Amino acid sequence: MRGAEIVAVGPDNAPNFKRYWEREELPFIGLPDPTHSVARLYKQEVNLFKLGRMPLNSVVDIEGRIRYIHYGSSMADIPPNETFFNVIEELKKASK
Amino acid sequence: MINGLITPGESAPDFELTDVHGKLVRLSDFRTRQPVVLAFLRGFS
Repeated sequence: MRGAEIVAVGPDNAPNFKRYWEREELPFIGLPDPTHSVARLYKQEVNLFKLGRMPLNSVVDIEGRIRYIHYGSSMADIPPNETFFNVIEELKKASK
Repeated sequence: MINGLITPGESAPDFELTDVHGKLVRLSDFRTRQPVVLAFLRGFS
């Protein structure tokens, strides 16, 4: 993504993560978190009635501050890409 | 803080994990360089 680094953290173990990443040819950073330590640190919700982990998306600015965060309430509750583009555009404008 | 969740304006908790290429990645590595879009996945299977 232009003007930002995309970092994906997931619960799968390193070999599964690597296989998926290579198969899908994903161009961003993939971080296996099989012990869920980072997911816990960010309070990613695990909902047993909704079959597992809820999506969690955030934008962190260059000072290391959370500028946007969305805790998904269902499997499909992931903000559209424009949401992230807009936050990043705002950050770029603010830094000028 | 609402229900103990992270809210905008807070410092992003720093962490480090090894990426799919075996390289150690720390969130704070991007500080002063690039904003980071963080996506927590559900898992592939």
